[in-house]
Amino acid sequence: MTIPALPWRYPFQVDAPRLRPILRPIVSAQLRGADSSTPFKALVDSGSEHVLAAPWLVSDAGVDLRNPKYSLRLGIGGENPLVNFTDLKIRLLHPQGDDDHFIEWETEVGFPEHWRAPWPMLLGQHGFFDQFTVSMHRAAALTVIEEWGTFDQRFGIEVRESDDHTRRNPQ
Amino acid sequence: MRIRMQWTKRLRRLYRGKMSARDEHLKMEQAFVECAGQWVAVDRETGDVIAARSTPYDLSAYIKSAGIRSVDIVRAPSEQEPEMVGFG
Repeated sequence: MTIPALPWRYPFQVDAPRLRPILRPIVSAQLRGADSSTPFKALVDSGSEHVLAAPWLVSDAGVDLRNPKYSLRLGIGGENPLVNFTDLKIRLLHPQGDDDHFIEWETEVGFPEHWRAPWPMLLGQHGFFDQFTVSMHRAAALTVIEEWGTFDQRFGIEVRESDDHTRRNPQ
Repeated sequence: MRIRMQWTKRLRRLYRGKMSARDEHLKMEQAFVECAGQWVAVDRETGDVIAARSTPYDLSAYIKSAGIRSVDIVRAPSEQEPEMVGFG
């Protein structure tokens, strides 16, 4: 099976009718624990350090959170929920492809106690932006995912290898 | 500034005639109005809503049992709920 080559282009997703059109940068993703979750739309959030997922995905993907890798209290939406992190595989699904067209990697995923966002996952710096070159353009209303090294080719800035996933100060 | 202009021109060349995002936005906005507050399964390519349920558990169970592929699930936000501007 041939997987379409990068770049992959994801149209922004419109929100509910508001004062003016709200466009969200989203991609198609899937979580892999003991089971595979149902694919979902994930918000690309460059302002988040972490990859976070909705609590319902714990059972949907067969995630074992009895012994989390670590737990942190984070500031989310004005609250400070406890977030349990564990190592899981994430699949980025091709925007027009079948479920078999994906790129998979392993990273830390945090599960907060509460979740109110419409998107089941939030893709942040550690675990997503350290895997790809991510470009967004408001006029094109697109998020474009490219190879990690594309940034270097485009701007002549040497990028480091992807972050390791070891905590510096384990608690 | 020069780099930005070059990149914008390059984007315009790349996406000229290929932008179908507007059609998908209209379809999604309409679907969100009709299914406000529900969890919906959206065809990944066309943006059509394939199924809707009140919880992600019910929707995922239905998608898996029916063997439906190439859909993504998301909650259709309601006009009544405040616009989300950030997680932090």
